[in-house]
Amino acid sequence: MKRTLFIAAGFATALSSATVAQDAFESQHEARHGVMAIMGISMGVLGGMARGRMDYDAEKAQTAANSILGVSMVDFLGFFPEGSDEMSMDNTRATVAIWENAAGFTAEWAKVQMAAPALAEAAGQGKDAMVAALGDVGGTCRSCHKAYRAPE
Amino acid sequence: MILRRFIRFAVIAAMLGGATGLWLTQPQRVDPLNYAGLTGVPSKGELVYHAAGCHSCHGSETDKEQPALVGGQAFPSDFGTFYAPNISSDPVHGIGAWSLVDFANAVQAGVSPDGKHYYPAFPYTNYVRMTAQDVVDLWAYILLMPGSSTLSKPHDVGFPFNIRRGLGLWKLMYMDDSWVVENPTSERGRYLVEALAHCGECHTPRNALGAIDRERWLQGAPNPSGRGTIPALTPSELTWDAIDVAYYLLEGFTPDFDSVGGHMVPVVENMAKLPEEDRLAIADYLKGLPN
Repeated sequence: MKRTLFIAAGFATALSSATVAQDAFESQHEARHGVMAIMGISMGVLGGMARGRMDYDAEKAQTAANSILGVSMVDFLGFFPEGSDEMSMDNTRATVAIWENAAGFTAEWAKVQMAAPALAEAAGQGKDAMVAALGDVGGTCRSCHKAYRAPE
Repeated sequence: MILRRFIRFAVIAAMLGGATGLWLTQPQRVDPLNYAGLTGVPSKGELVYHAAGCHSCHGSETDKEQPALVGGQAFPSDFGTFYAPNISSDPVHGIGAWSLVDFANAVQAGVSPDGKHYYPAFPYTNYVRMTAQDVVDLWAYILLMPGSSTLSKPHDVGFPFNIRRGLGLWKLMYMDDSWVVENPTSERGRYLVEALAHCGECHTPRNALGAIDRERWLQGAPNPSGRGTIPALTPSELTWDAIDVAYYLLEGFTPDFDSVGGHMVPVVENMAKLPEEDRLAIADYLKGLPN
């Protein structure tokens, strides 16, 4: 009986700390999802052109690349307070590796910040130039998600 | 008197049983004649190497740029943790001193040169379907790759799974060189998925003995890491167009431009090195899978 109570108390503590993380980091959680959503929509426009799903349009390509450049300048790393990982919160796939290897995670975001201006530079300069620069940005998505995002 | 007769019966039965057991569990090797007279072409072997994902498991854990197949990556499972061995061309610490038939036995029969069973964490249950020519080409390529003197790490597997002889029985039950899909929409796609790329190892659920459940082929499975699931590839679940599947295997982006992650990243990096028609063949095969 005592042990049952003990275990129940343990569960309650674990649950409440998860709830605390959920509430405490809700805005950071939403912000990082927002950054990724803007990235995804913009990559969709450029990738659609690269794949020939839609015709290349210099103006639309430039607008999408500008969006990527814009979000690359927000304080993305600041949206990852310690304790906002997938073990502590629901609806996130951020692994604890983000904090265990903080330097590596920082370096991944730095790669995005390097590739985004190059894409913004090239996006309006014709399809071939855009596709070449897009590849570098795409590579940063892949390498970061490989190391720091949990499977679904 | 009756007791003595019973004991004699029991002893004979045990001896027969043991002998049968030994006979049943003895390593079954490839027929060397399958490979006789074939000449390996390293440039073709390089494509086999990428399609079969050799480097994804046998490459260095820490240094992704290291080309040698140094081994050392850990593969946790329900049966213990397996460590990929050094299979670089080093003649002492790798496999450089092996013969072609040694290599074929390892890859297609799961048997080491000294006659021991390999654990099926090494996907020879897929490679058994490879053409002899692909095995010979792959061997030619691996011999040209750099060697490494890194020591292989022993597997961390507990009783009774540490008795390799028992794998002979496992192979009798589950080593099956027939195709899973009998009438594929793409033969090349089937060859890539079922023989080389061993997609079923992660995307198909396993039974209690760790064997692939062919009845639920590519229907998705729990992630062996213990968290999350590995998605199904059957048409009712993977609803992307074939061309989008091919693009995913090239660029690592889903149709809505989410990016590939986790253990699928090295797979995409391998698939991206194949010709376009191979990625399309895989997509065709997947679109034609039974639901």
